[in-house]
Amino acid sequence: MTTISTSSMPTGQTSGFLQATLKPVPLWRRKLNRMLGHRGLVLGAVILAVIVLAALFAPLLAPHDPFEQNVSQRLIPPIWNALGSWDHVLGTDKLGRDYLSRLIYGARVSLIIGCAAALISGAIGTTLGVLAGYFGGRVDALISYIITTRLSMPVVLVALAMASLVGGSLKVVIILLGLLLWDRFAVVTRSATQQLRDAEFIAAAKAIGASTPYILVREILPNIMSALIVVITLEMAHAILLEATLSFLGLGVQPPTPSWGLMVSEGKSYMFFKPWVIVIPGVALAVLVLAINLVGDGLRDVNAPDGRN
Amino acid sequence: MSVLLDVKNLRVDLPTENGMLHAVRGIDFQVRRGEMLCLVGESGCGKSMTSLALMGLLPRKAICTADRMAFDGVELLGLPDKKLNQLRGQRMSMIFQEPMTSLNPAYTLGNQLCEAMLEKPGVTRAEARERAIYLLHRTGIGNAEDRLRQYPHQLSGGLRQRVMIAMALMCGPDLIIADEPTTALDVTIQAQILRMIRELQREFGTAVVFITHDLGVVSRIADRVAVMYAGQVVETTDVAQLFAAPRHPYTRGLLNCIPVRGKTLPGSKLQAIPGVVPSLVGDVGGCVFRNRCSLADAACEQEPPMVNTAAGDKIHYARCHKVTAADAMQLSEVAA
Amino acid sequence: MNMIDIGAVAQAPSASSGSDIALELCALSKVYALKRGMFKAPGEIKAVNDVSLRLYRGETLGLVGESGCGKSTLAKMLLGLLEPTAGNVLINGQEVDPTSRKDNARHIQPIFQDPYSSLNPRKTVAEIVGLPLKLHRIGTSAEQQQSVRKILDLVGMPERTYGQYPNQLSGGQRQRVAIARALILQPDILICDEPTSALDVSVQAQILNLLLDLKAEFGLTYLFISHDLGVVEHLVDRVAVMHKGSIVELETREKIFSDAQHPYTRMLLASALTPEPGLGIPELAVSG
Repeated sequence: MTTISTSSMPTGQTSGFLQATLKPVPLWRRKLNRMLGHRGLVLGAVILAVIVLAALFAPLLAPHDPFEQNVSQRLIPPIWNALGSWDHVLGTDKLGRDYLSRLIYGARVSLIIGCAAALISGAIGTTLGVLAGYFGGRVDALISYIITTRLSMPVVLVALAMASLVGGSLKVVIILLGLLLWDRFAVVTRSATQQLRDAEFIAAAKAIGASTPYILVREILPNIMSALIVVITLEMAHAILLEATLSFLGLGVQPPTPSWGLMVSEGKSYMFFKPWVIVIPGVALAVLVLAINLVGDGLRDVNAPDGRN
Repeated sequence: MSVLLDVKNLRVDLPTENGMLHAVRGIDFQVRRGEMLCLVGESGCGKSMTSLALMGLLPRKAICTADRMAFDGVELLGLPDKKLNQLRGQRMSMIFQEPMTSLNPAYTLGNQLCEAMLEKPGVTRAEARERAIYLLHRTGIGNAEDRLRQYPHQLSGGLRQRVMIAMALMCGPDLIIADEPTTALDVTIQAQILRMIRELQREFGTAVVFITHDLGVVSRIADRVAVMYAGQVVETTDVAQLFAAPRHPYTRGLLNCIPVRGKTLPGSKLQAIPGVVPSLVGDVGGCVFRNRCSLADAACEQEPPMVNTAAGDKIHYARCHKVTAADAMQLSEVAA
Repeated sequence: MNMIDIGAVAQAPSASSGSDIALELCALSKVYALKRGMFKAPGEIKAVNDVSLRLYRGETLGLVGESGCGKSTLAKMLLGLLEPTAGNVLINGQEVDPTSRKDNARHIQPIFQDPYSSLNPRKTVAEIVGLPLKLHRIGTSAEQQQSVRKILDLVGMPERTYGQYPNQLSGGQRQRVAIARALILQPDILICDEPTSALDVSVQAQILNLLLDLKAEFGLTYLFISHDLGVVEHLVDRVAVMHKGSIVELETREKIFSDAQHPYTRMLLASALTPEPGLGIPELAVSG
C-alpha cells in the first residue's frame, strides 16, 4: 500500500525559508471593521440604539406617567417656547399629558410593532420565497401567482378595511401587517434561492444524501441571510410607518395608548396654533425610519462585496 | 524592429483590509512592432494587473508607478484622460477573457464595432461599417451584414470572441493586449481562434501582448515569452529557448508538472511544485520562490538579480541567484 | 507500510457478489422539451442520447468532450441529481433508484469542477467533511470527529484549517476538502467532473497526484470527466469520447491516443495544444 506521498502535499518541505505571513484576521473581526467604517451604518445604529434604549428604560426615563391627565396643564408649549417650563420639557397635549413621556412610551409601540410585524411577515415571505425558488416549476408558478395577487393589493386600503371590520388594537395591527408585508421577503428570497439552487455545494449535499428540508434550512437559508437581514430592516421601517398611518386614521392603536401616529392625529386640530403637538411625534417617526433605513442600507453595502478574495 | 512598448519597473499596489497587496513588483519588458509577447503565469502572478495598468483600467484604489511605461515614445503614466482615450481604441486595444460579459448586451454588434472608429475625426459611418464587415469576414464570421444588426446574446461564446477580436482590430491598432482570450472557450474553438489571431497579427503587423496561464498555447503562438511569478518577471526569452532550456527553477517546475504525451509516463506521479505561492500582502523581500525551491539557500534571502544567461547578443534573462547551478541540472530534474 | 484506516466506524458497504462491473449505464437518455410557441409541437433537445457504458471495478474511465456534449448531464444522472428520461443506471449490479439518494451516497460520490462553489460558504471545513457521517448517523460524535481528522490528514489539510471557512482557503485546498468529503463515506466510485480545470497547473499536479494515491489506497473506481486531453491521457485506462449526447468512440487509452478512428476524436486530439514549440497551430476543418 502506498502512503500518500509528499508530492501531493501542499506544505513546502524543501526549504526552511518561509515568507513571514501576516496573522489572518478572523472573519467576524473583519466584518466588524467594515461595519464600523461605514458612516451611514454607524450613524443609523447609534440613533437606533438610543431609541431602543429609551424604549427599554421608559419607566426610568419618563418624567411623568404618560397616561396621567391634568386638564389644568393642557397644551403647555415645549421648553424652547417662552411659556414652557422644565416640568414638561416637551410640553403637554390636549389632555395635559406630558409629551416627553408619551414620546418615550410611544417608541415602545413603534418598535414592538416594527419587530413583530417584520418577524411574522419575514417568516411567511421567506418560507414562500425559498420554496418557490428551490422547487421551481408548478410550485414557483403558484407562489408567484400568490405574490402577484398580494402585490396588486393596495396595502393601506386593505389594512384600513380589515381594521375597520375587526376594530383597531395593537394586536390587530401586528397581525394585519404581518399578513400583508411579506411580499418583499418572498421576492428577494426567491431570487436569492434561485441563484443558489444550482450551486455545486447544493448538488454535493444532495449527493451525500441530504434530505430536502435539510438542504433548505441548513444549506440555503444561512446563505441568503445577508439579503434577508436587509429586507427585515426595511420592512420594519415600513411597518412602523403603516402603523402610524393606521393609528392616525383611528384604526390602529387605540387611545389612551401612546403611539406616535395617534399623537399626530390627536393634535391635528391644533396644527396651526400649537404646531409642536404634531411636529414632535412626526420628527420622531422620521428619525426612527431614517435610522432603520441607514442600518439596512449599511448592512447591504457591507455585505455586498463579500465574494471570492 | 523598433520597440513599441517599453515598460520599466512597473509596480501596482492595492490597499486591502489586511494591508497593502503588492500585485506587481517591479517588472520590465519590451514589445517590438509586430511581435507576439506572451505573459504567462498562474493565478495571482500579476499578469492581469499588468494588462489593466497598461490600458489605464486599474481599479480606483490601485496605486500604479513605473520608471517608464512608454507606448511608441509616449509616456502612459500621468497622461491626461483625453490623450489616453485617443490612444486606447485607436492605437492600443484590448481583448478580454469573458466573451459572455465583455460585450454590451443593450447595443447591436454593428453599433459596438463602429463605436471606436467613429471617435476618430473624419471617419464616416459608411467607412466604419465597411471596415466592420471586412473584419467580421476576416475573423471567420459569415453573413457579416446581417450580424451587424444582431445582439450579443444571439451569438455563441466562440462567435462573440471573434467579434471582440474584430472590434479590437477596427482602428488598426499597433498593439493589442489580449487577456486570456481563449480560456473560456472549447478546445476546438480555441485552436481556431488562436490560429486566426496569429494570422491577423502577422498580416496587419500588430504587436500583441498575449496573457495566458496555458503553456501549451504559449509554445504554439509566441515569439517571445515572459514568465511571471508572484508579481515579478522571473524569466524572459524567445519561445524556443524557453522550452528547450528553461533557466529559472519555477519555469522548470512548471514545465515538469504538465503531463505530456511521450514525456510523462501515464499513471506515474507528476512532479508537482511543493508549497504554495506566498502572500504578497505586506513586506515581501528576497527571492519570492525560495520557499518552494530545491536550490534555495541563505543567499536567496536577498533580492535576486535579473541575469542574462545567453551568450552573444541573444537574450535570456532569469531572476535567480542560482542560475548557473540550475543550468547544470538536467532538464527533467524537478524543483522539488 | 501502514494501511491507513479511516475508522472502523464507517463500514464499507457490502460488496456485491463478485461482479466486477462497478457502474453500468443502460441506454441512458435525457431529453428536454423545447416550447416552440402555442401551435407548434414542442421540439426536443437530446442532452444525453441512448448512452450505454460499463465502468469496471478499479479502472479509471475518462469521459472527454466539449461543452454541451452532455457529459455533465450524464454525471448528474449517475449521481441521482437528475432523473433520466429513459434507461437506467446500475451500481454494483443493482439498479439505482434516483430518488433514494441516501443509499446511493454510500457507493458513488462526486467531485465537482468549481472549488469556489462546491463548498458551503457558511460552514467550516470540519463541518463540511463531517456532514455525510452526521446525515447517515455513522458513529458517535467523537468517532465522527476522529474520522474527519483522519480523512483531512489524508488529503493533506493541516489542522489549523479545520475551523476555517472556504473563503479562507486556496482553490487547491478547497478541492482537497471536496475530495475528503467525497471519500468519508468510503464509496466505491468517484465521479470527477473536471476536478482540476479551475486550478493552476502547479496545483493541478498536486491534486492529480492525490487522486492517484487515493485510488491506489482505497481501490477506487473513477469516472474522470475532462476536456484536457493531456491530463486524461495521464490518468485513465480507457477513454469514452462524447459528442452531442452520444458516445462516439470508446477505446483503451493507447488506442485512442495513437490511432483514433472517429473524426470528432481526431479533431479533438488535433486541437489539444501540447507545450511543444515549433509545431504551430493545427488547422481544423470546422466552420465557425
